[in-house]
Amino acid sequence: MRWLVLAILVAASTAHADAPKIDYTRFTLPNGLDVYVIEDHKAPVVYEVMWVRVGSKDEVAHRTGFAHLFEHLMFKGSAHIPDGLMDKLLESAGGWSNAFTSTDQTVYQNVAGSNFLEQVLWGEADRLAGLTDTLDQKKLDNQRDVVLNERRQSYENQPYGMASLYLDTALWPRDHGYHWSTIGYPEDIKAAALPEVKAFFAKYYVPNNIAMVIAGDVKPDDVKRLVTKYFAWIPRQPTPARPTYAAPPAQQKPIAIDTTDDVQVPRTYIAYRGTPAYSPDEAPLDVAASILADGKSSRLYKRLVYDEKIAQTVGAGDETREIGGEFRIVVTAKPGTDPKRLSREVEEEVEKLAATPPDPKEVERAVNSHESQFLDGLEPTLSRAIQLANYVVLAHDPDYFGKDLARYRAVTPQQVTDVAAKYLKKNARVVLTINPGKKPAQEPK
Amino acid sequence: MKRLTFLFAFALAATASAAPYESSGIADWTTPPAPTKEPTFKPPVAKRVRLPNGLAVLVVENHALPIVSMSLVVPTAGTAYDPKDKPGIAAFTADMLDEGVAGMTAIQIAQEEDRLGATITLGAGVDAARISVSTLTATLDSTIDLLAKIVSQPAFDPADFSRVAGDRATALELRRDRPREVASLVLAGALFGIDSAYGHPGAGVRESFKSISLADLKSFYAARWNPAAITLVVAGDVDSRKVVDKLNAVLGKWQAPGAKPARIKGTPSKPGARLQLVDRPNAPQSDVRIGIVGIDRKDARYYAFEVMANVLGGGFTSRLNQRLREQLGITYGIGAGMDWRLQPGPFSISSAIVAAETGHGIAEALAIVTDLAAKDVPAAELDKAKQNMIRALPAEFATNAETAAAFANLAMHGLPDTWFARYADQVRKVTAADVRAVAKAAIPSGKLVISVVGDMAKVRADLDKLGLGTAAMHDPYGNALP
Repeated sequence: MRWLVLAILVAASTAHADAPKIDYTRFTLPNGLDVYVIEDHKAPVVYEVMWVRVGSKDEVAHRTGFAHLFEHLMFKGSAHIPDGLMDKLLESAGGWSNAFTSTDQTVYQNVAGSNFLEQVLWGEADRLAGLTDTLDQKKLDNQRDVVLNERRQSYENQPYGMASLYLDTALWPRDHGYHWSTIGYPEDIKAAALPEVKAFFAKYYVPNNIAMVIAGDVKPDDVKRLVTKYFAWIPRQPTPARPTYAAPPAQQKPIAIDTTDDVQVPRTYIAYRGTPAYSPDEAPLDVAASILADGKSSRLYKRLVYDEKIAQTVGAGDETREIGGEFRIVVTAKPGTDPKRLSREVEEEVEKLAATPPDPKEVERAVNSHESQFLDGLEPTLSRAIQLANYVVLAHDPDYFGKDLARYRAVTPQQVTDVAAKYLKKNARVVLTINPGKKPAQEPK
Repeated sequence: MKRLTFLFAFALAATASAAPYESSGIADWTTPPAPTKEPTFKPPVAKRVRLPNGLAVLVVENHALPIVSMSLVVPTAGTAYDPKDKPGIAAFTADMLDEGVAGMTAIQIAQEEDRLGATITLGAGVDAARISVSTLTATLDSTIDLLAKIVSQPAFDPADFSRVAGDRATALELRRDRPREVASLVLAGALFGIDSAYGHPGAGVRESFKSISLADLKSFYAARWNPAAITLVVAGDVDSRKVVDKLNAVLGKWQAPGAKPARIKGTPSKPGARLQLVDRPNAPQSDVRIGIVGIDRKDARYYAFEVMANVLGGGFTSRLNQRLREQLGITYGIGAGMDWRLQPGPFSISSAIVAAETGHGIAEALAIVTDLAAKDVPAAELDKAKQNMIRALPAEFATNAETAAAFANLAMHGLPDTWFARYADQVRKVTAADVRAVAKAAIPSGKLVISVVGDMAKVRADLDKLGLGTAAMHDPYGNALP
């Protein structure tokens, strides 16, 4: 009998592939905390995701890097929990905690054995209600030093590590929230003061500014009871007034930046402002990125790496954010290649795509590849929980899973060419070349 | 004055909470809520069959999503089997397999993968070469067809060889830009000997790379990619019987020309100078590795060693991370762990430490290792580490790819497929005395070797004060300097 049962299951799950749907239950507390529960009993583990609507684009002048520095302070104890205890409890429970900050949001994750659900919620509630009660200068000093080390490790002491700072500053006007990088400038990180930390917490870390997802081996009724117990008393606050930014004016002429780093060969970045997450142009622009430079089947790999052998690697990224996006093509030169030749040939391929619709087979390959990666991304319970929070906050639609796949399947060759012509214009280009040399003392601002 | 100000601020905060806790209805906020009943976890079970040519197939069914992962392990084709004078052959061979097969170019293979929604990744680790595959249930059969061509019918075309050789040679030229990689390979060279099975850089070295010929790769492939040595794990939305039939149809007749090759026996430990240095002018931080040749994977002290490594550098709350990051703020993170190999592999502590505190950080790390051998780990801390390991086991199977890799790893080590079922009980048995004993015997702080890639102008004076003896110097690629 076992085989028969399995065969039926296979058939059922294959049919599901056409409309992936993530089942969840939802409740909202009177204080505005918006909670989603994904029940998944495949392993005795619980995942808690707290998505806070604040990122580096909400920072004020001369305090770049503040949202990310603040993220670090969320792990330094709270009103009733001494510094370090929560991580010890989570690790004893087989789990861990972490977070990431981007231009638009700060996202916290707690993982533990599912029988520790109440402990996880207790810890999260105590830091949401009382983080700054025990926050002091010593903790701030310590995490400021840690963040400066993170900056050294991830940017300053990485080959080509400052590229994203150059691109952000060139693509976005000085008064736009995407002009500075999330990691921030060292002098701003050093200037952050305790009263500012407390004010930032009071403004943004309020229940009505958060989407929470609890996923894993839990029962929705238990989650609702415990979330209510630990979070419902925390007062609602005024909806945080986040800075708003007007769409920047169109770039009038190409920008070229040449700089140096302690590297052996040049690397060239060709970047454009793209499109916001979940906007209608996102899917075709993603497909354009794939066709141009994603993997060995892409046009630029074939031309620059495979046929002409003038590049070591090619890549493309269509990074879409809350109020705008960055479309980048990255090419690392082979020793002896003139980077000008690389950028010229990239531009030729971009112009070709903007003029002539791609072969439907190219679009099919890009879409299939995207779909497969999408399904892989749904497999770990934690990444499914983060994806759900992402749909809630950025797509304003928790039921977006099926729609997300559908919009890629609907992409036509003509749409790909249309968005390439719309966004990847000659005058809208920023060409950054990092040549071998000494890293300049001055950072891009 | 600074200290007094702190105390004042703290006192203020403690009396005036920002939040009205009294309205929460929770009387006790300070005691962590107790966990509910401990859930039971049964690790997945694999079904094992052997194809007529000796290739072992394991299948783990999981129908949650219409996707499949595969992990193919070739435990006779890792970089440990590189000829002494031609390091890099094993990795180059693995790299070539999807660069052209019977009737398909590299580009056509990549296009077929995309069309199928499949990803096929090849690489050579130290003990074994591996292929990882992820695909959709709907295209599984075609993906297996493609995988079979890659593994059993590589073209080894001269034009592809020279193209890939160019890419790999350039990657070696760029190695000096990757200080973490250089720090690790300098440590391996110092622990095992730079021309030994475990001590040489698996990707090869610039100086000898050009001596590798297409004939070298073909003969390595013929001798060492032998189906009788291979294990293929399939995990995901499959019907075990059908997938085995399919694999048998496309791979069951594949034969290698020679006999099943032997595996590595014994790796000489060849400790050189304790301080191994690479100058990286202007580096704002130093990449540091502190290591020693560890114990055998099948040593009875395996579980005690893993608990010890967890206490020392296993997670965020480990002693190393708490001290160097959370107290001193001189690093973004520091961890420690054993690279379990077929023969005793390297145990290492890894971090990037701010330049000015490099010597200080290393001294702190060594003191923490010394302490572990001198005193018993307190009960609560020992329990934290053991529970962490036991309760984190389910996460090892969070994805099909992880499940497939976990079973492939057991096969690589020659451990039983049921190994995970006994794991929790074995960890529970570890005592504080076991941890202290294994720390003392296996990672004596006085014998640890330290490699540092950093700005010598800033860090050298402090390193010399550590009393580690004469330093061995290396060029930016990790080659020993005279």
